[in-house]
Amino acid sequence: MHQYKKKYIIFSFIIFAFLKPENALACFSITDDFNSPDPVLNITFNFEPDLEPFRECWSGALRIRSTKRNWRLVATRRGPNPAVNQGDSSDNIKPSDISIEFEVKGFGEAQADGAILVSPFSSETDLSSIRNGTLIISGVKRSGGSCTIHNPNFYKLKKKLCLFRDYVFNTGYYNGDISYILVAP
Amino acid sequence: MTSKKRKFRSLFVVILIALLYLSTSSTKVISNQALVPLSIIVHGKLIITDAENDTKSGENPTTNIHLGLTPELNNSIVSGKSSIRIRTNLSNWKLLAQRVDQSNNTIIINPQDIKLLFTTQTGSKANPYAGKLVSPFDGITNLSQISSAKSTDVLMGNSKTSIDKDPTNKNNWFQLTSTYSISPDFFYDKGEWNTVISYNLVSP
Repeated sequence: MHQYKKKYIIFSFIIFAFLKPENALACFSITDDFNSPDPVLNITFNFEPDLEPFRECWSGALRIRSTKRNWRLVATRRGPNPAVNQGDSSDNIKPSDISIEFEVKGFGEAQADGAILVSPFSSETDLSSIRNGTLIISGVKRSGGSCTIHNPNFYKLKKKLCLFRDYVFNTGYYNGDISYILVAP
Repeated sequence: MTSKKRKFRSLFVVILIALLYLSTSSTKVISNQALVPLSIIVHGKLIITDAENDTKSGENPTTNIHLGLTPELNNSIVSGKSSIRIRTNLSNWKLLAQRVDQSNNTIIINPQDIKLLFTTQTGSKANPYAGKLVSPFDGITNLSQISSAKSTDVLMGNSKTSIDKDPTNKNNWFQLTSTYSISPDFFYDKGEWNTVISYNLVSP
């Protein structure tokens, strides 16, 4: 091999390592459990207070795909705010009244320890823990080599929200939302 | 510089530029967000349970009271009682009562002869002022005050029964105890007399 070729090859290796080619081609996606991108998952609690069942719950799931080793899932909450209701404001439903429980599993090539639920979301907490841009998952491993929405390698984030059917809550309507964004650090 | 060397260098530069472009361009995003709209609707609820069976199965209870009289000289009063528990998240409610005398009565007892006393009590998470006994039921009265012709107001509610969150809905009850009593008078014939008092919890 010519001397100049050797120089170029060594120089290329250095540049290649420096540029982190995994970043250059990285991508990520978030879908619902049916692989629909940018999903909207509606939660509706529509109830009367009652003796039993005392808790009403909603469950849903998101799929996260990332070819990057480092990624984060952050969430921002608005409300729930009373829309039309009656009674003392201290008896309105508050974020702290709604429990939330996350669970993450790896499917396909996605390894279970590649997505870590950050405290306090590693165990049951309530909606008041989610504020503006709150870190939910710290991703330390990629889910696989592709992030196309139908590939079988993904992290599944299950969510369960529950509300007590307590007689103390004011009747009426309450609205809010939680937005999740997948970002690279 | 030979032509071969020049070509190799050109190729290297092109690859380098491509890599630089890819590395500086932002990470490819296919879809990176999810929205979870949250909607909560809380409806009003009125519920009566049996204080002795304060669960879902004790809802809309039938409580039987049996007063067995044997006339006595010492005139000891015979009494019986029943307790119901009220829960509501409505701020405006009332408890109505109506009496229905039964056709299978074999003796005549005047409802006036049966003394009636209502008392209220609340659990630790309930508001003792949520409901107020309506006159004449705020003192000792008699069964004739509960009409058989129409519903009679017994208890008026002006706030929800809960005063605080209750982790199990176990201690947020507003209880009404009704005590019925009669003297074992020698005046009454031998036989049986029955009546039914129905209570109805409503919100205007």
